[in-house]
Amino acid sequence: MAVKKSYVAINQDDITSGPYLSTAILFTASRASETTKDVTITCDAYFGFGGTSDIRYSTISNGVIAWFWTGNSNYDSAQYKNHKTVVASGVKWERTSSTWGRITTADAWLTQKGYPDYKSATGFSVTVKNWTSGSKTVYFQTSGPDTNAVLSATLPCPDYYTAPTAKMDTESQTIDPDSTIRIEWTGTGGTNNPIDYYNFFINGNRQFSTEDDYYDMPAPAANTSVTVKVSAIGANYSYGWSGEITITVRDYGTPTVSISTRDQELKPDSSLLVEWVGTPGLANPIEKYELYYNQIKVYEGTDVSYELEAPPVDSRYNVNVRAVGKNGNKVGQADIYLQTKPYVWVVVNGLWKSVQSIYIFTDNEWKNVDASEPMGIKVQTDWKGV
Amino acid sequence: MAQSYLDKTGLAALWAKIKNYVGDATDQSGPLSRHPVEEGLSNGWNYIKWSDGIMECWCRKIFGKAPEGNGIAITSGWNGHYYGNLGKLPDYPSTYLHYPEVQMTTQVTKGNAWATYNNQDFSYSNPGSIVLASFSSYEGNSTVGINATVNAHIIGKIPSNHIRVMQYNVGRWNYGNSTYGLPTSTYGEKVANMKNFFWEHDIDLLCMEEYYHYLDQSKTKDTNTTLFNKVELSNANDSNNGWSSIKSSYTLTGSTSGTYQSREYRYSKINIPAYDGKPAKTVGVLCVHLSNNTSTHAAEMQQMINILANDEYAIMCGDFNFTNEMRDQMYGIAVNAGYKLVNGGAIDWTPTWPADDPSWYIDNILVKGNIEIKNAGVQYVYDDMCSDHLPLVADLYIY
Repeated sequence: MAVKKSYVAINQDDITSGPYLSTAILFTASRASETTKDVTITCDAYFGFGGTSDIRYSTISNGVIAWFWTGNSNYDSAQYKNHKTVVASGVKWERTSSTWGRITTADAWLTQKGYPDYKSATGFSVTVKNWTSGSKTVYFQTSGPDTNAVLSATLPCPDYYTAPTAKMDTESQTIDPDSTIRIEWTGTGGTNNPIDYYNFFINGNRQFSTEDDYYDMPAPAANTSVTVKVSAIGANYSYGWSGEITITVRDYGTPTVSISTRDQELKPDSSLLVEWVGTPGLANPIEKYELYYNQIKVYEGTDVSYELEAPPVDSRYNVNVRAVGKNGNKVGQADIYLQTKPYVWVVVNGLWKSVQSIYIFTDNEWKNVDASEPMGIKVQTDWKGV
Repeated sequence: MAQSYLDKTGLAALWAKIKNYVGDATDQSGPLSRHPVEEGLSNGWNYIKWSDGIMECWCRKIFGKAPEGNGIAITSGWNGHYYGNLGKLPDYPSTYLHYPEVQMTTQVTKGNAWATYNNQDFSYSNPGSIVLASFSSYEGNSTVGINATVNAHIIGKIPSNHIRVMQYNVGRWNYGNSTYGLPTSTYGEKVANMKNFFWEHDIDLLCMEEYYHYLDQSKTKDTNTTLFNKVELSNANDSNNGWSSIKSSYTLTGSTSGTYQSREYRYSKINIPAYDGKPAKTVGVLCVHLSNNTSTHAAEMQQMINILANDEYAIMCGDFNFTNEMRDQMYGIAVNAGYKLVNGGAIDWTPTWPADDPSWYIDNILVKGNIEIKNAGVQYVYDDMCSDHLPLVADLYIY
């Protein structure tokens, strides 16, 4: 997903600190007093005069000739002065006389003594710091021995903004591997600051920007967890974080396998079809089976049966069937045992020819075995019953 | 493979030193994932290049042809010793970024002699001229002259996609006091400590604030001549009256500077070579020092982000001067612009100021693009250095 390249600025949740949406407040100042002030201009900087009556802000340091302040606080005015955010291009000053106040040189202005009985000033573009709320009366005064205001105006409260907010609607939860979870959130625009878009974060790192209020997030790696949050970015900059949720991903399940063939005893040189049934683990289908016969792998594939030769005479073999999961190296297994018994030694006392038949008691029954071949004489200590 | 080879060659301790030269850094990467990216035989050197930009190379070269020809003459006297010139080994397979560690052993056919290299022409590409020294004098004829087998093992860092970055407000070399430079009483000790510090940390990119071009208050000790040229940080973007400074062992291009809120920033680019299967990259580097004016911090932060807006890969180092109350909000501006934090991100929030009892989190390294932050940590060197800030170091891998 795309990442928006616009940037965010400070959360202006307190309009006592700028910047404001409206950085230009045009107003017309009128005289605060009808009294003509005897003012000596002793400023430490000046507005330079251009070829017209426009007063232009000078970049000369150490302040400005005219101070603005709000309310009655010199602190405010000092802040404003220091902030130097006045943009005075286009400002017109009108004196009570019929002519524009125009002084040809800065030096003349700096040493001027007279009666600057200004009638109005228009076209100021003002950003006022330390605004609290509501409208403010703004005064204009000259520096000098008489600091009474000569002009004043009322400025409306600027259109400040506050940061948007975001809330995660999806709760922390545990999900299956390879699944998808819809992460949903709600955003609320701030004052004068609708939400432009959201940034989506995983583990604190921005992943993408979106105008949607949800994201179908693929599950992170199995057996891990991540933190997820969003930030709501306002159209007028500023941002707000949502809370953080944790998405935990279960581990892949282990497949199981059950061998339907039971443990049993086989005749030597016989064979047996061993069958099994596999069950996938969580999000983990069986990729293959492996069959180990007496610890040696004899089969690997997807069949669910395999024909095994009987173990050698008088031996017991382990049959180990493993169901190998597709994910996470998960293996389930089951075992049975196949065995063959020792040959039975039959001791015949007497002539072999007289033996008509031989019965062996095995598997809870007497079984007739072939007696056609001589078996000789042998002393057998672990003999079975005949 | 690496460990076993190093163990066999007795260099395990050396490697441990090189790997751990970040001091008490917090390793975010877990088990070492270092792997070889290239190996071979070049110009008589066997070599291995590792994924962290370390190149090892080793060679064996025989000097002297006795008895079929002449051996090496060790007849030049030198302070009770004798020596003979062997010449040079071939140039390394690649040029190192910093002076590498050189280990050299010698086997001689008779007597006692040992090879040593000449620091005078030691370089990033060759250990320099080698002499064979002995307590005894040997003529160089076929019966008396010595044959010498020189075994050399070199290990060090070459240009790669791994760069080590340090952010350090150096406090005008005087603990942030308004008087710039070290006083005479502590100058020698502090400068020596700083040489060792920068040298030992093998920094590829160093961003400094409250930088001053002279180390001493009498303005006679040029910073570059006295210090940085000697610790392999000779490429610079600063000025004699600079407030911010970028120093690097990489060439800096496109260097500019600007001001905001009466503070100076420095911007440069460094070119990261193709390495470990990763293509070459150009990384924008910005050294910033935000003002003390909290009301303009957001705008300043945004301005810094804008400067790097066209850099797909960017490193922003600085003393951001955010108050603790505004820390998360201010750094969050960069996080929302796609940056990752070293301090407060790759490592837990770690205060860096004031250096003797830090409680403010104002020094940080921010990265943008596919850059992985590995080893990172604040270096506690207040007593040895001369700043009111602590330096922050991070190993960055540019992918």
